[in-house]
Amino acid sequence: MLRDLAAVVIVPTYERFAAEADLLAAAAAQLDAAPEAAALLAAQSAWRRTRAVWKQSEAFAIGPAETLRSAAKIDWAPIRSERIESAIASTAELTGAHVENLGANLKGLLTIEYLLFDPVGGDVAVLTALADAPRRRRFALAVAENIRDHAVLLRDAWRPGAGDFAAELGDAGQGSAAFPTVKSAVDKLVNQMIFLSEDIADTQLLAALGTRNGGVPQPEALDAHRSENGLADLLDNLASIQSVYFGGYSGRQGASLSDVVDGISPGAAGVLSLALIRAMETASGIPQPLEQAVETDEELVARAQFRAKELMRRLEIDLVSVLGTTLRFNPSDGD
Amino acid sequence: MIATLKSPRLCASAVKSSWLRPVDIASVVAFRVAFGLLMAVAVARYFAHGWITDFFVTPRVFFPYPGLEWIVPLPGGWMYVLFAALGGLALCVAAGFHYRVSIALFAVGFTYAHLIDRTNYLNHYYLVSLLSALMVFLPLHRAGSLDVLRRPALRTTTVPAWMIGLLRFQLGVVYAFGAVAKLNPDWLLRAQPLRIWLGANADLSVLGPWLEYPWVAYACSYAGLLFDAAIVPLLVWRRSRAVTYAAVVVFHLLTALLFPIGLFPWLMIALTPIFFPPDWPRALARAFVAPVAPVSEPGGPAERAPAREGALTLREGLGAAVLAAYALVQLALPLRHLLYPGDLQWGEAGFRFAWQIMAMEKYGHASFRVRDAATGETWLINPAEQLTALQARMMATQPDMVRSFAEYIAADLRGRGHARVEVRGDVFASLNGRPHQRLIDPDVDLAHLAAGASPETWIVPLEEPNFAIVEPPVSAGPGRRTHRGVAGAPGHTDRHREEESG
Repeated sequence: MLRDLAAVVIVPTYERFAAEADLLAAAAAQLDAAPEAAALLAAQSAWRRTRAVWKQSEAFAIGPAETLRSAAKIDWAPIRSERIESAIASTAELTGAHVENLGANLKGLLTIEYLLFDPVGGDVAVLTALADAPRRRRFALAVAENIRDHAVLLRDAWRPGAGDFAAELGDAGQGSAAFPTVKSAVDKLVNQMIFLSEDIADTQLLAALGTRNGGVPQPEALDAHRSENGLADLLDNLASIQSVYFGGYSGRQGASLSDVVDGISPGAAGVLSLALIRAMETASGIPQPLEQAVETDEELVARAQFRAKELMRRLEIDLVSVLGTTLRFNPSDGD
Repeated sequence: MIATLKSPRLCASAVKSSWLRPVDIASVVAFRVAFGLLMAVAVARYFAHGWITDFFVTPRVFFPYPGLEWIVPLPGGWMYVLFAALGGLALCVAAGFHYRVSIALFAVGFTYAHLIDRTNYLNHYYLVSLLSALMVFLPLHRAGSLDVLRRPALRTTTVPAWMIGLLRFQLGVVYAFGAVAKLNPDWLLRAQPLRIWLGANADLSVLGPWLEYPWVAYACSYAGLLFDAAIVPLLVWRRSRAVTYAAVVVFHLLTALLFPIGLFPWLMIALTPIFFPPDWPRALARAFVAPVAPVSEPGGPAERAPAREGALTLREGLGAAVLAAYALVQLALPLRHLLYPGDLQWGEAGFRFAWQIMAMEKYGHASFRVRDAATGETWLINPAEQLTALQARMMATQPDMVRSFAEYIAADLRGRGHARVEVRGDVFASLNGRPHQRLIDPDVDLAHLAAGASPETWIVPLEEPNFAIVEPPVSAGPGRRTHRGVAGAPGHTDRHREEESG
């Protein structure tokens, strides 16, 4: 199951992520060379595709993603817009290497979003800002190149024949240094799925609904609110959890965690599958964009949050119970 | 032949003779050394795992025991100093150096640390507190110790038999109630939680593949019950003692291999030899090392005189009464849950201090809804924002901690100007592999429960359903896969590509 997960889901996702990040860098280069509407649209589209694959990888952000601190370098939130402007205004040479030395809140996907999307002024405002500011365009390109570099690092860390962390996962309990037991690998994955499901239910949806501050919706609580990409982020995260649990990606299917659960408790497998499906279907029913839906279709969003919360509980309580998972945040002895 | 009934006076005299009979001090010295060394290891583990920080420094909120809210962590880095001191004291106990002071300070310090927060309750920490408290009153330093080297007049070769009996009683209580804890339908009829725990170790070499079979879980469940129930009588019976101890070692080694229960197996392996004859260390030394003088040879000047027969003196009577009261408490306390309604493992009323060792697996999740009664303002509280991850997890499965946290939320908000808030919990838990269900009534204001509110008024009863095969709604779309009647996951993965291609 772990070997299949690496081969069918994880490695292909990171391969695609590196490919999309490369296309993003190319689009940013095109925009830098010719800051026109078509180039901006192409860059925005490339950004959305790159972000989509990144979000689809977050349920298995283990191993190299942790050691390389990929999340901090690729998708830190919140960014600091004033510091980004200061970096652009500086006299430093704006290269990927320079960006590497910047703080996490000055780079990554959300920094590119800041530069390519303007929720108030729209694309016209973005083009106006870019047209007369070559350093602004160059900064976007440098950040994109930095993202590409980290995507390549991540891909290569997992790739057979390179870092081959896929073998570490596949060989769990059979000589793997990273995972001395199968349980340790499964624990890692389950904990990451739980963490992501909590983020979906509590951080993304609850915060946006404003249920933590007296019921006033806060669309700006969504990370990618400038581009109104909140719903896409949510759906891609759910897809990521599904891919880990069902063991399928991009039309390919392997032995899965759901098969393991089914072998232990068919009933538990059924309710877990149902929870995943319901969470995805209710979220998919939210009209775009989520940033507006939290105000105009609050009931739909609340229902999606309810299903996301149910999924989180199914993972955190029932899946853990069936598998006997050691929850990550349980450092003490038991008896 | 008709047995001659003895008079009560003669019986008392016989009991007194038996309990005050001098026996070799060697086994209790070994007990002291083993206990001290293991406690030093326990303290070292606290430093090694960062638990002092995690349990006593990082948390902003603690869950004190009722009536003991005044027990709070030492400020600053003093908890580290405390644990360092406990480590040193443990070594002093092992070495028998200023023993009385060392064991007393250890008992107080260790117990204090573990009364700070209910989150950290473990049965074997409770055992350590009890044993260290008992050891204060036992002269375990009067042989094989640095104290005797410093003051040879302290030396003795015997202790009264009741001291060994007391230590045997304390360990025996753990085993006996460990068996009682297993007398429940989940353990006996569903082999839970062992089915979960053994299945989680299925990748162990040699043993692993066997652990996935349900019959193995059932066999281990009943073997565990029989072990706990029979171990003390079999250790007491001379003929079965050696084999039984071998079984003790094997049993606890297996538990140490399979379960993350820290020092507990080693504690029991090291301390169970107290059931051997009191001179077992000397016998072992004679067998493997060198001839060692048996106790019957003339000893030091402080050698205790043979036990006196006759009526109990006032002092002896008081001592016997104290011991009897202690024994009564140790036997009654674990059974207090019988006074409360509801399932013990679900509602956990009377669960702590009841030797419910490795008896259940429980997971939970909690969040809280708050309403300002004056303004109608509502908001949600995520415990993870105020508690450590361990606290949040433990709290979510223990109703008394859920209630305490709700009261804390209300008190905290009162301090911020919300004179009266209502706190309700969305608390879900799973017990022994059941699907999760509500643990707490979501409509009850937990912050204003009456002091003696019956658990029935706010804890949702445990239901008994198992997971049912659920047929989800079938919906159209790409990327479907069929999985035991599940319609499959919507193919979101390629959503962006599909949109681009139009």
